[in-house]
Amino acid sequence: MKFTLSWLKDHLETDASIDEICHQLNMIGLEVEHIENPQKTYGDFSICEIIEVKKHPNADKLNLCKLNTKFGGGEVVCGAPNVRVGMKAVFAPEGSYIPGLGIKLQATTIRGVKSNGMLLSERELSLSEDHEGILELDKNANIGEEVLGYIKRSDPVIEIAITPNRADALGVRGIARDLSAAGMGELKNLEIPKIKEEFEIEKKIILNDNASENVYASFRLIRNIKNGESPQWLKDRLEIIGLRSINKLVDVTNYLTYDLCRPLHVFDYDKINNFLEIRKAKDAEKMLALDDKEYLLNNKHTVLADDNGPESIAGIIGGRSSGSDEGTVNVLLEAVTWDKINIAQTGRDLGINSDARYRNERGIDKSFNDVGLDIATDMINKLCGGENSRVISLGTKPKENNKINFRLSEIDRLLGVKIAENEVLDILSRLGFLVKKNNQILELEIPSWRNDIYEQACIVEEIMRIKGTDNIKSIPMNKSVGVASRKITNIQKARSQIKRILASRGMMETVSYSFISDKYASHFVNTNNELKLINPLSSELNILRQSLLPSLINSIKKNLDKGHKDISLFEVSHSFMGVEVDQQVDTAAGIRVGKAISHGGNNDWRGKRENYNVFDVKEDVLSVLRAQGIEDNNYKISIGDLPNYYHPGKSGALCQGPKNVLAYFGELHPTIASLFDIDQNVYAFEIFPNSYIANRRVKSRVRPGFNSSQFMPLYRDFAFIFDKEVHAEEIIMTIRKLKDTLISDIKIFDVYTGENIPKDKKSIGINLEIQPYEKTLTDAEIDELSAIIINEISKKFSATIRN
Amino acid sequence: MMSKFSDITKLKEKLINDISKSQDISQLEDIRISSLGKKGFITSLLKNITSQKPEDKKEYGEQVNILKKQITEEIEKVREDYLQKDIIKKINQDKIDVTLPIRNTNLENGRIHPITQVMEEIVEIFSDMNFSIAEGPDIEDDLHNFNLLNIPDSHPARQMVDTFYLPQKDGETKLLRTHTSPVQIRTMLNEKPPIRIIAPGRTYRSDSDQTHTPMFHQVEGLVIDESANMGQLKWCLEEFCKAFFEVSEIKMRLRPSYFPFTEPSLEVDIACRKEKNQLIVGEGDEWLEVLGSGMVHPQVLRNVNLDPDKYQGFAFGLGIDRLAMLKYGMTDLRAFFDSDLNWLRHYGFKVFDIPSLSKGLSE
Repeated sequence: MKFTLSWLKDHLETDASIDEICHQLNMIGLEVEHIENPQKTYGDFSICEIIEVKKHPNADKLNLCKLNTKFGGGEVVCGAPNVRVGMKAVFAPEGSYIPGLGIKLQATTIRGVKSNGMLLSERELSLSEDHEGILELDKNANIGEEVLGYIKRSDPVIEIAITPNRADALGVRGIARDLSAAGMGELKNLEIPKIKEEFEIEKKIILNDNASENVYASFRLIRNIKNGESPQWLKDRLEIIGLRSINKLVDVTNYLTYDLCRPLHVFDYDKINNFLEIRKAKDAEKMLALDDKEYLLNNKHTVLADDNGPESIAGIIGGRSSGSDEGTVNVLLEAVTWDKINIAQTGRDLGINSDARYRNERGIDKSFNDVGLDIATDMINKLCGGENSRVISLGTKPKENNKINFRLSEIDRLLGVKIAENEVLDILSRLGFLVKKNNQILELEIPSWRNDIYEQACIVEEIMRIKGTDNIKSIPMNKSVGVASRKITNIQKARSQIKRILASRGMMETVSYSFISDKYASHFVNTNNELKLINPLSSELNILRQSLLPSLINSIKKNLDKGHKDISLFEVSHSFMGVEVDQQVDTAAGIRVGKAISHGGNNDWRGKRENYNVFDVKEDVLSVLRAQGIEDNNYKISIGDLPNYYHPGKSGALCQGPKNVLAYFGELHPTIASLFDIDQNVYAFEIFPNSYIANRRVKSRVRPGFNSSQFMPLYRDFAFIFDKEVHAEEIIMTIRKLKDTLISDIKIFDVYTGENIPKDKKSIGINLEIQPYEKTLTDAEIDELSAIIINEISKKFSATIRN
Repeated sequence: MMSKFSDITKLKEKLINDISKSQDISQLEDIRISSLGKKGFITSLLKNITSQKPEDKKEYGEQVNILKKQITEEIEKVREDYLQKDIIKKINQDKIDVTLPIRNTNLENGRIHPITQVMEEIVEIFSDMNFSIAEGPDIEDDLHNFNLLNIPDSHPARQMVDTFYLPQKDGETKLLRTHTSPVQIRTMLNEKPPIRIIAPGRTYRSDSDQTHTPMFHQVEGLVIDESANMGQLKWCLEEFCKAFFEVSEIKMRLRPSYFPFTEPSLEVDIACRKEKNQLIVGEGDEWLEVLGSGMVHPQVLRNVNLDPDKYQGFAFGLGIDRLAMLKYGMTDLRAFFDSDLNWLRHYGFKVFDIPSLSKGLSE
């Protein structure tokens, strides 16, 4: 909502400065977004006279002008063709800000001659696009005086953001009313004109039952008017708030929309065929609107129609065919208070944002409907002449104002502020409430323009706004008595830990959009149409992700393209399996490409550089799981059954039973890498903390007894030849299952295929740590243990021991 | 005068001379063996005591023992010298350039995203004020995101934000939550007052420019009991802002505003000023809008079956990304979600920068 200071002063008697007014607007909830104050913009400029014009010695098109300024004499270099001796012009001294150029003026030397300041054109003053020459001022202008009085843009423009509840502040008068309630001047009287009514409207105007809910409509015909160009003051006002002047009739409706928040519409009466009916549109009816767009209507939209069809979309936009123009002689003026819900729905359906819709859907003052019609009639009479008909009014007449009972104690209860009773009464009456006091209850009649007020809390807000929020003092909340208890859940803690663990492994955390492109998504999982956005910003961001990996791979690709080589990224967020609450699954995913940074990255003087491999990402996963209490023997690593974006031969799933997947890790499938145009191996993992973080608290913190041994552990190596298909994990599990309490650790120290080993076999070296507790073991006892192991492994895997 | 044992004296001079002329530790060892070894001549001299005249025996013995002691000491001394020289020589040979760089460590390379960091800072502060951390889904429905928050279908406030919609499911409109406020509703429906929660998370609006991204982060706050009022809201936000920006005082301005789910509603500005292109928060003549807040609307309380005459409370919503930008000086919101390695390295946090009130939030 834009208006000028002088426009505000049409309604508000005040001596307050622009700064005071703007501060007060902010503090009563009418947020000032922008102030354009010519006093500030042009304050540095003053009037000067050119007393001598000489050619620039080194440039044909430039002149040297000697000036008489408020600083005394001066000399500037000027390229304007219209400079001449005796001319009065706008002088900008060094250091002043030139609005049209957006620069601060510096002392310069132009082709060897020093220029001390500048003479300004209209464009440089940001007054117009005119740059033909410098602005010539009245020859009687006083040298040294400020320029404000001599240029057309002297009125400060204020732009405020109006919250959706404050329809009443969508007119300058409403803003003035609020300011005066807050003590910033007196609201001036609004003159209500007496209209001379001479005849009846001939054409029928009908309100159809199907469109009559909450509608109150009034019409007046004004005959024999002379439309045409608006007077300058009206054109200026509209222009300065960004509206184009069209003709007198249209300008009047636009002006009153902004001045009194009274949207109106004018029909060219002679173009209305036969009758005018307010009704619901028929399905597939069309109308060409004043914005030159054709709208397809349906039976939810209210229109004003004649025998030809819709002539106006109710409360939103008029139709082209019945609009007024220079030739309009008889004008039908419409003032209607519409059903705001219907306006909002229609406006949204059709995607029309007009000043009328903006106000009508927020709800305007119904009681003011006919007064607004009279004011508009009067203004048209003054600008265009004409004779007026009697008014036709249809629909539900404005009823009495709403009433509400207000407990005075609510103010202290909600605000924690005590305000004297007489002050409360004063504030409410200044806002237009009619107040009757009944003990500690106020019986309030709500002003007709405030349809946002319907609760006691709304009254508290009004009092807070006007009294001023400065009066709210901090009141400490009670904090916990004693030591604070735990505040975050197990899963929240788990997420936080995972991030720090992965970062401690050299990875960088990313945060990326929850939506990705379906062209990638479909390569990861079967597209779930539930997750497709109906109104995406772009096709790059049109589906919620079922895996975090596409985002991460995309990030890897972008960084590779920027020349990075060794990249390890992770993200901890949600994957969406569907739209239900329990289908939003916590996921920690990571990707590694290039050389392991901790081994020197691509450049280290020790030379050895190791590429990432599957075991780096397996280590990532196990680092997290082990830190979060999942031991290696709490799950099985399943080899089949992985999502198809993993390399089938180089990936694993950590599973508890057939259904509960803790994590995936491995190399990405080569087709995925090539989909993203990455020509190297990409290693990835996904961890699903919901699968193992239970939402329960630990029962006991006491750890199992500590069993230490005074005896040295001893180590034994075994090497077996296995079938190639045997998995290391099975071997380890087999040895562990022997449950020999002496075996304290099992390590695989060698895996070998090649010379001396049959093609379908492999050799695996196993190192056992044997920890005696009661006594040192004898050779015989050790041999016995070895024999058991050799026997079990050989039997179970048809393996042979090597020597 | 020639001593009776001039041979011993001569021998001593010769040995001292030999020792001083020795070239290294092995020559020295040869001298030691030839003189003091089992078959060495000093050892033999000692044995010769039996062949001395009885009156000379005592003096002879003394003289030889003195010789033995002197030579032993001399050899020890020179050996020490050689050992020292050897160590020095070895040290000189073993020099390396310790100024060569080490490999980057994982702890140095790893980074925590600023959003995570700032969220953890926020959690630290509010948990100290006895708030618990609540959560809700990103995919919401009309009911929780709008209707129960007093934003019916026709409400103009629905146009305050641009909502991303998903296909309807079982007649229910599914959408991406436009704010974290639905967590208020979910919490009030599931818990009995007193309630004191914050709810951080992702939010979505179809908007994109330098200061808007289609996804961003908010933290919602909600307090419901039988006495929570606006004065407490102000205290709570002041305490938060002081703790978050790590300043002892903060100039704050409350501006009346409008949110459908609070009444009265306030926007909160904090004072700031620019100093050498750096933003100083907490003092100054300019105002920064940091959050929206208000007393929970009575209709919202009724919607979740709470009696607005008995229960009351306040709610607030903060932009996490914006707070991060204000505190740590990022200028472009979009970069938060770009995963640019250089940006992450520059603005990210190291592993052990774990926000903690007792250890200092960011120091």
